[in-house]
Order: sequence, then structure tokens, then C-alpha cells
Amino acid sequence: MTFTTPKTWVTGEPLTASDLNTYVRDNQDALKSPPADINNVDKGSNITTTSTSFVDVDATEFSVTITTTGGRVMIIACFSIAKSSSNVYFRTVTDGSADQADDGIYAVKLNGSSDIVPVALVFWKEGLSAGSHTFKLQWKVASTTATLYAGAGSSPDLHPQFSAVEVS
Amino acid sequence: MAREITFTKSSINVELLDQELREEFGTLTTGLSRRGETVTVYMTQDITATQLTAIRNIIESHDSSQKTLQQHTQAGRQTEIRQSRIDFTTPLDPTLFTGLLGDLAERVRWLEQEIRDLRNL
Repeated sequence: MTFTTPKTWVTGEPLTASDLNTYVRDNQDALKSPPADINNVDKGSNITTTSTSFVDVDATEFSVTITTTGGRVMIIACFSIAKSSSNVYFRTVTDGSADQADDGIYAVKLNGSSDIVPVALVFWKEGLSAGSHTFKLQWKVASTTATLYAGAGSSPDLHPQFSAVEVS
Repeated sequence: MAREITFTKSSINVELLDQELREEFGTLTTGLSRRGETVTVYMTQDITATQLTAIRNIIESHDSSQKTLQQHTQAGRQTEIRQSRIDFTTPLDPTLFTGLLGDLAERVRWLEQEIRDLRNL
């Protein structure tokens, strides 16, 4: 459902069913159910990388697609990282292009091999045209390895969430 | 053009396999990812059939029970720490020392207490 910029009524103008449906009903429907896609991750295994260049965390689970109406999109990722003694970097990607330059938007570093760091990543994507857009999460390490918990079935059995919603 | 190559391998030592691939391909590879039994190798450019075979051979012959030098060192360090915990269960007695040595022993005992508290021992 598309949001339509409300019209300005003038004195004496009759309220028509068409206007009420367009500017009140349809707009409320659009605000109540904005374009959104949510992935609750349960891969049955954790994800580990040694990649020193940005790669998809998981091309399926950490990927969402929505058909927008041209507004801003909020990309949200919640997950936990373990087993890294070097920096782990994250960035978001829209339609195959990086949203942030250089080392991305977030860096995480753990001090001990048994440490776990929770990450709640939020990024506003602006300037998108109306239409279908795919958002992904990518990561890389400075060196060594990093593990992202993704529902391995053994403790800690953590389940990330990756989502995008148009908010404008 | 960067390329990702996916293989299936039930058990891998991620750090060791990464090392084996980098030893063979140098900067041609930027590393790998593991998702369950799926292993993805990242190459910075297109590769030849020979190179693809070499990657496949490395993955097939990879022995996850082996360790990298760093993992060996780390395992050795952990073993030493575990042994030291067994060897030094009794706190240092500063009264056995006199003068500056006694002061030092007091400090060492305090540090032991702090570490035990931090580690919930």
C-alpha cells in the first residue's frame, strides 16, 4: 500500500468517500504495514570467516528484500560474535553496492577466547528510488578468525535477526 | 574479478585451512568462510582450472585434527597455566620473607587474590 501525500481541504469542500479512502484509510494502512522483511536466523551451525576483504556473512540468511515507495530504509542486524583476537568489521550492502566506505560501519574486538560480544547494528539508507531493493550484511577480519553465532544447536545457541523496513 | 568457490567438507580447522590456502595462493586468496559443512573460499580474481584443482586438493587433504603453529603455542600455554593452577593452589606466605622481599611477597599475594577474584576461583 502506497502512502499518498495528504491533500489540503478548503472551507466548504465536501468530504468524498474517494478522498477519505485515499488520504485517510490508505495512508493509515501504509503507515501500519510499511514494506519490511525480517529474517530470523537458525542455520543449525555458526558462521566463521577468515576473509580479510568484505564478504557476505550469509548470502541467504543475512539478506532481505523489500519493495519500497522511495523513502528511507532502516537496516537492522542483531547478533553475537566470538573467537577473534583481531578487529572484525561490518558493513551493509544495498543492491550489491557498499553503503559505507573503507572498514564499514562497525568494528568489534574481543580480548579473550571465551568472550562474546553482542552487536546491534542500525543503518539508515537514504536516497533509494521506489522499487525492489536487496540489503545484505558483510564482514571481514583484520586477521585470524571470527565466529558469528547462528543457531548451532549447542550452547550458546544464539539466533540473530536481520531486517529492513521502510521508514519515512 | 573476485570469485567465490564453494565446497563441502564435514570438519575443518578454519585457521589451519586458511593458512594452507594462503601458503599456496598468497594474496590471490583473502580467506574463507564456513557455514556448517559449506566452505567458501574467496579469491581476488578468476582462477585457472589448475588452481581450482589445487584448491580442491588442499580442501580434500585437509586434516582438521592438525593445528597451526599458533594453535600449538596457545595450547601449550593453556597447558602450562592449568598445571600452574594445580602447582600453586596454596597462596604465597609473605611471612617466610623479610625486608623488601617480604613487601614483594605481600604484593604478589595481593595480585593472586585479585586474579582469583576476577576469575571466580
